[in-house]
Amino acid sequence: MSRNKIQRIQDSVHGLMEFSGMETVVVDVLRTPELQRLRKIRQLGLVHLVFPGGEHSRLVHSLGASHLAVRFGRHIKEAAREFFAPVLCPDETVIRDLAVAALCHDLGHGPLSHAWEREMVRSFDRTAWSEALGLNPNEPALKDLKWHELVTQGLLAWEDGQLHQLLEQHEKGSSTRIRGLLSGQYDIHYIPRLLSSDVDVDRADFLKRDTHQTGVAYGRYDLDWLISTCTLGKCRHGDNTSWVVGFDRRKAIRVIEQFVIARQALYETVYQHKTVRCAEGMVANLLRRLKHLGGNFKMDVAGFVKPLVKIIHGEVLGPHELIQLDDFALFVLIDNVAHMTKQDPTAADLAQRIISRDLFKIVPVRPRQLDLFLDKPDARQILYKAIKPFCVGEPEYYLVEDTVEFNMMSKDDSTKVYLIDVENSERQAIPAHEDDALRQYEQIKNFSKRIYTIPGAVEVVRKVVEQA
Amino acid sequence: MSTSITDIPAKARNLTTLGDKTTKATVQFYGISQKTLFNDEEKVDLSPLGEALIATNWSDTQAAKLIDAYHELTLAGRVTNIKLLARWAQFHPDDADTVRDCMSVEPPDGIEVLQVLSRRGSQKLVFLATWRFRQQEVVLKQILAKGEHAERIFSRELQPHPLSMVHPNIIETHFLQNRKGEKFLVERRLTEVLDDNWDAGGVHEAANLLFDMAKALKFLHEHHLIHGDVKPDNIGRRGSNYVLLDFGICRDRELFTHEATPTGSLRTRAPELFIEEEYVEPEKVDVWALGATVYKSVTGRFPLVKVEESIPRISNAAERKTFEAVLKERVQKDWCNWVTLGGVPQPLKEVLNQMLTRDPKSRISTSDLIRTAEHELSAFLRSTSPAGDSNGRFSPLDEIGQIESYLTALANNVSLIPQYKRQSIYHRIRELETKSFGENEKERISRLAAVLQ
Repeated sequence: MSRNKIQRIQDSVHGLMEFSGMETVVVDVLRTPELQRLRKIRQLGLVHLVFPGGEHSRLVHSLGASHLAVRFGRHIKEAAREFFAPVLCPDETVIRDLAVAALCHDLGHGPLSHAWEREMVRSFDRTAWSEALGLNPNEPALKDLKWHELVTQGLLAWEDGQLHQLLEQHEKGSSTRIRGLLSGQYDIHYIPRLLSSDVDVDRADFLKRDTHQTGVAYGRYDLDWLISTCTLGKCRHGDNTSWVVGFDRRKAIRVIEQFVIARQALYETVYQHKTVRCAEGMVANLLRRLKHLGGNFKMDVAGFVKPLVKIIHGEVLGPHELIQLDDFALFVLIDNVAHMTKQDPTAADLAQRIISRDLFKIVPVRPRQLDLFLDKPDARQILYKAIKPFCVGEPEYYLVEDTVEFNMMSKDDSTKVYLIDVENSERQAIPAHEDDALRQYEQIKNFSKRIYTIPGAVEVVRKVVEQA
Repeated sequence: MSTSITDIPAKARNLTTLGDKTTKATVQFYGISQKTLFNDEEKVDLSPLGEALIATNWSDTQAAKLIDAYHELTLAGRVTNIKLLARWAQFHPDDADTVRDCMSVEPPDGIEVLQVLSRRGSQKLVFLATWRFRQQEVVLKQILAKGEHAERIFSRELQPHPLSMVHPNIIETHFLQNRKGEKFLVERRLTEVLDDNWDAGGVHEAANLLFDMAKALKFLHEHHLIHGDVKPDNIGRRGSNYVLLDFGICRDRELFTHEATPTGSLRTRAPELFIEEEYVEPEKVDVWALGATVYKSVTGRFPLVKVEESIPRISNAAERKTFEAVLKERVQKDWCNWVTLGGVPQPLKEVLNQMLTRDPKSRISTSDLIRTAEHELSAFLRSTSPAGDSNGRFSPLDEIGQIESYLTALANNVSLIPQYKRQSIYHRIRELETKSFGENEKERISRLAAVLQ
């Protein structure tokens, strides 16, 4: 296959994205079915029901993250030359690994990721899934992974998969190295922070992309400045010091501030928009209903939807079935269910409402009041009884409870962002949330509860909550 | 002159524990050499040698043979440092002949022999040595042949010499003489030399091998030289760079004839060398051989040879002739079944297809090969400067500290380090080892080397 030394891809957000030399492997990886599945999964799930432009796929986001991994990687490669002997500096193999890892970081997401994770894999049998994915359930690195992270590991390790074979064909052991990089294990220990921290290539891309696609004006920050201030510093842990990736304290404070505020704004206005969360909750309710009905609900669906049905029925899937899970399969399933009124009116009604965007409405009560009410042991039974007259089917599926949480800055050692005092010869790295200029954002944590129900029952629910 | 065990100084009596023959040889040594060559008061202390022989389980026979050899060479006027002799004995346990080789060679000034690496047929004796002037470990080659034959070997080996100093993919070679005027070749030491079992482990390394060797061959070809024996054993690694070695049959293109080829390897021999045709473009012989080497590294076999087939050694002329005939038949009658690209990974197919073309006129040249490889294999090619060379910013001590920190951060889990990088770091450690350090630093270096190995 003939190829150019530089592979160019035009992007609506970053403009011309160039991958050169070893980085061009990104284009080969992109062609594998494991990656192509992401073309059929929307990055923002059901956000497009509110912001119609938010239709972009996880594939384009992953590609953008990969492009930024290259840009950050090249910058760190140059920065490292000042502090390390050539043999220990990141080289183009490291940049290639970073680019591939960034491209694969969302590999395991299910259809409509957030709705999916809310219901289908909130608590999953880690051992059974690990085994189905061909992973060793006792592998320490898998212990705390979320479902989609576990699937990512499984798809990279899948020996019959094109992705694994391609990576191994390029270099034996590279699939294992990419898996390690995605779970924070890499020979140059400061590199994984570029993929996973408060300011990383994932967030750097999705803030820009989601802002651009949804049309909101809040998610803007100076990406070029951010990259140019990225550098290396030393972090003290007790008696030891280690090198970390961070940002030049003299130059980067405002851009870091811009970045975290942009993220907060997008969470508040887009990702946790009440209608978006309501729609996600309704899909989760429908999936829960289908799970509850199990084999009693006979679905005659196309082959590519069957893995979805299996997982709804509680079965675990192997990698070859997982790569058939996407938004389109889920919407085909919802569409099928919408026509199966006779089998189960509840499921059919929920499906029809999702298809026709006839969504539940938020109940206008103060979050604190709602929180207190829902703490009562019989709260749900009271609500179900109140809304029953308005429901076509079982009332427990006509109520969506929503808890929104948001932390502006992480305190976790592995994900917090560092500011580097470059004027000091020790190049001390301090966590950004400990800096006077950014300390205020450490305190910002959003936590609130919301509840949604069918439009006719909103007033009844409001009264029940307020009078309780 | 009567001798007895009492002639052995008390300190050196540890040698007697090795057995009667060793005791006898030691008694002989102290009884004669000592009185002949040294004052009684300045007796040579053989105890370090005794310790080394005991520690490395030498047999009585070999130990006695070694002491006899030392005795003989001492009488002939060759003075060997006992500590050095003890080190050689440790490097070559129970092998008196090899230690004798170490003793016999008189290296050029500033070079100290560490051990014998190999005896390459009857032509060369190869030692690992240190070169104080360069603060490097080097490979010292002593040409065993004499007279005109030796001159021929030198002139061939040295053909690329003035050029090698400026090419990172050709072994750096120096020509030195000892005080007696004996000639030696000194090559920079490489941490790894490939062999037939070398597996590229995917396209990545195979592509870099191909590219680095293509650059070396292009350089030779531009200087009208044909290497003539490109094969895995003649390729080494320095850090992440591949380096072309062994110019034993390297010739000017005009001198490259059928007579020159029999010493080259059969497994990488170009098809035109089996069928008696005129060499129109002898450079293409090297291109084929490189193609065959890369092909082997990704498929497990050489293009004209079965996996399980063993190649007769050059010393076995009859078998070798028979095998040549078999290969010739494969070239003439069964080409398509042997030179197949089915097992070659997709990215390498196009390049290898052009390298393994049967007709040398249609076979790709090294200049075109480099262009094609840059185009087809750009996703795999390293572009960094030779790994391991310091940029001068850090002292050797700084580098040791950095490597220690790097490995500590990995909790010494070297499996996380890519193979090529582990090789580069190991190579760098070996280079650092030759600097003038104290014992403490040398210990630190040994620990690092042990972790990486």
